Amino acid sequence: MMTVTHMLHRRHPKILSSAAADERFCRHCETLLPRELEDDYCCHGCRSAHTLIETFELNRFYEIVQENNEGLRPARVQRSDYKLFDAPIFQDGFVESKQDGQKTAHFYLDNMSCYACVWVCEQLVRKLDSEAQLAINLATGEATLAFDSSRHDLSHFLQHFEALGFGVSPNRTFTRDNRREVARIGVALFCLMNIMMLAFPEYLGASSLEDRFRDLFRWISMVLAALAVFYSGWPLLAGGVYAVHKRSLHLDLPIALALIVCYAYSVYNTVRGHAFVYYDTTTAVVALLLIGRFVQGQALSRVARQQSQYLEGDYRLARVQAGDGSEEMKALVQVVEGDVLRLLPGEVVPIDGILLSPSSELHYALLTGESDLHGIIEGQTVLAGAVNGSRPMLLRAAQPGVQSYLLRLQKASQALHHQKGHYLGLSEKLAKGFVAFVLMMAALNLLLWFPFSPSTAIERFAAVLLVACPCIFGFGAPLVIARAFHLGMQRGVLFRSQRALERLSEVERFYFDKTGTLTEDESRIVEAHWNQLELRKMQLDPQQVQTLLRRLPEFARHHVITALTRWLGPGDAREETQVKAIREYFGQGLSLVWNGHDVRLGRYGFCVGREPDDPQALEYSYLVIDGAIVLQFKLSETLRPEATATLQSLVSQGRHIYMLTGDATGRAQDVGQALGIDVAHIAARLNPQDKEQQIVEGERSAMVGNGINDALAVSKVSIGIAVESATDALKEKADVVLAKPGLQPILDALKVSERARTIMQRCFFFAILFNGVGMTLAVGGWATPVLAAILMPISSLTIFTIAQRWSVTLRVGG
Amino acid sequence: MEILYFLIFLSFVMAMGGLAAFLWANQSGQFRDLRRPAEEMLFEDRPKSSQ
Repeated sequence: MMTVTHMLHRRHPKILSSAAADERFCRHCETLLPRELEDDYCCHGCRSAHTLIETFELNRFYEIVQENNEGLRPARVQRSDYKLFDAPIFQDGFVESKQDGQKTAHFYLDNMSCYACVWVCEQLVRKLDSEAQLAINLATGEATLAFDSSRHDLSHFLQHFEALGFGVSPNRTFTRDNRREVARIGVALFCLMNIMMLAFPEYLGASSLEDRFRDLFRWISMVLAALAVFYSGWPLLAGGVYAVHKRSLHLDLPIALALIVCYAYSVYNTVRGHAFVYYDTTTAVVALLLIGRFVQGQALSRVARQQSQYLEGDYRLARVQAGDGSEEMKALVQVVEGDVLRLLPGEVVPIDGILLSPSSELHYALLTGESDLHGIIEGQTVLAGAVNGSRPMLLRAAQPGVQSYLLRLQKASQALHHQKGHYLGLSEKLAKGFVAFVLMMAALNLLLWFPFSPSTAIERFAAVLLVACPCIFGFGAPLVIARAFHLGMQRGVLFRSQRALERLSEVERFYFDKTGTLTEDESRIVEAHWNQLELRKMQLDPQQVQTLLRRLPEFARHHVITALTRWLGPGDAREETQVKAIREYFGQGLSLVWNGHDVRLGRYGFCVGREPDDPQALEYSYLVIDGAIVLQFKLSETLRPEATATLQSLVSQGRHIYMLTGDATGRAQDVGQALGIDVAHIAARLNPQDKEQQIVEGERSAMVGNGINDALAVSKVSIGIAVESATDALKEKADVVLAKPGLQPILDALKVSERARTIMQRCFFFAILFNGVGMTLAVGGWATPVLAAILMPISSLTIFTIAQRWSVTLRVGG
Repeated sequence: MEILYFLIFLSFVMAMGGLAAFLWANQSGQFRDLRRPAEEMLFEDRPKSSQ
């Protein structure tokens, strides 16, 4: 229901009268309703939003929307649980507490499309609590709510916003006040413009001005430039000092050095009355660098917010067992220390805890990349991130769920911001070389010229530092990356790191998981045979067996079991059956003891104990009780509708497609054939380790998967991709996460990655060109103030424009 | 040409005035939200009276 295509059917206020008489629209968002829908609303979210607006007599909201010619988006019901927002540990970081229970909450409101949204939210808060104050920034969606927590909880307000269709997410970076940055830029531009005005006569030639005025102009410029360099440029100078302190070739080092040397040299020449003063160029460098960094910072924080909203929207559930043995699914953040959690085989431990079951097995594929099972016994500690190996297990939470949840969020945002730790991006590598080169050139000039003429030596030294334009590294490359993240996000692609962005387009081999990745998430049973004879022989009632099968989801999560229960349909699953010794064998099947019978479900070889004579038998799954086959069934999967087209585009780009699956060979080949994958590139009947081994070691490969069984393979390739329906654990591990269903976002991701690379190369080309010209001028002693004043801004502005203003064309249709 | 001294002085007084105005506007948060005030003024009357 809630897709972008929605917007196309919207009734526009201007064309009200032209709507056909029998067309009906949602009473809230005015989406055109399908004829067969006998309701006044397009979805439940809109119904509750409309009801809320009517209850609080805020109908003027719709008038304002109309007046503004803005459409409303369908209101969604996003969360069922708002109590989370009242938990002190969760509030940490976005809610400030003052005296007497007064609190101020900082959060983002989504879908703020015009003033009407602001109005309705602020009115609503007034009606909910006359003393509460809500302030919304329409441009950024940032909201600040001051309220008295002894009167109302935070969740009381927030759930009303969400009911209106405005999603709420905590703003934990509200302290970022950019007023000082703006002031620095403003002052730098002010100085620049005045210095340029004063320098203009000199551009035309010194003779056009009387000497006393020329000197006066230089002295005034000196004061203004001091303001620009030492007030506005302070962050740049501090960065240079820091680089020296850390003894690293950071980019701020030559920038700071150039600013100081050029300013000092200009002052020296001003005092002597010489012509070589560079106040205009120095100030221009400060202003342009500050603007570049400001834009880059804004872009990155916008991307970080979008990504954290996506990840924060993921409320992982945990199965919490009460004292009487009853179970309840709870959001992870609601789990408190001491809660007893039950985990099925293949599930990821969400939280550090103590094992309560007598013994169990774990593997650490997600944490360390090894998939060997490790046995543990009662009382031992289990770390979050471990995967439950083969049996259901009980765990006592050793920390509150919120803590583990916040930790994961923190990690996710760190991955975005501090990606330089393990991987040095292309531009950072080059930047180091560039810094070394510039410093060397400057030093060389100084040394060579010093014996002949100390003043020429200093002149050349300063000129080299001045004309060396670090824009490409200073803000060019970071801007390209921030923009690429943003473009990716718009198309449903989350690049989790700069490395992922730079490497994706190089990928030559794409490995796809089959079930849930190339096919739809759910498979269904197309053919099944009960063996009545064996059942009668064992004196088993088929009803009883069905009851057992219906209970299986309690013990294991597997798409075969889901398909089985859907095939059986609803029925009585409560009947007393005794199930013991459940054990899941990865990629093989499940074994358990039921009322004294030995029950196996899975592949032929696993259930019967030997390989079948007829290869056809491999296409079926089996239920075996006490060694006798009682049920055999065949599963069928639906391919994702766009899978074929996506794979074809990948192939046409010259990339190779491989399919890895744990499924039977025949079925794998059917799917492969339908998708046009080379038979030699299909590997079936693989367990997770086999999957990993199938992947040819190498840099240029990507694995697309959806489950934990893909985690090992994902850690082996250079780029791991998790599809939208993938488990949270895989998403955390992947380098690229798709935020839209289907496989097509992969093509968009490739496009963004390729385009970013092209743009980056274009920036480098211009950077080399400008620097080459500049260096020649500097070394030859031709870097006059006029030339420098022309070259520097052109160079910076060119790089800035290229890096900031690019886009990726969307595929049409497809 | 002595008039230049006065003109330069005058232009700087005016420029400083502009700079001061910018710094004041920035400090009072006028650049934080460029959209809301523009739309808000169109809807001033009725929301206020509906309180």
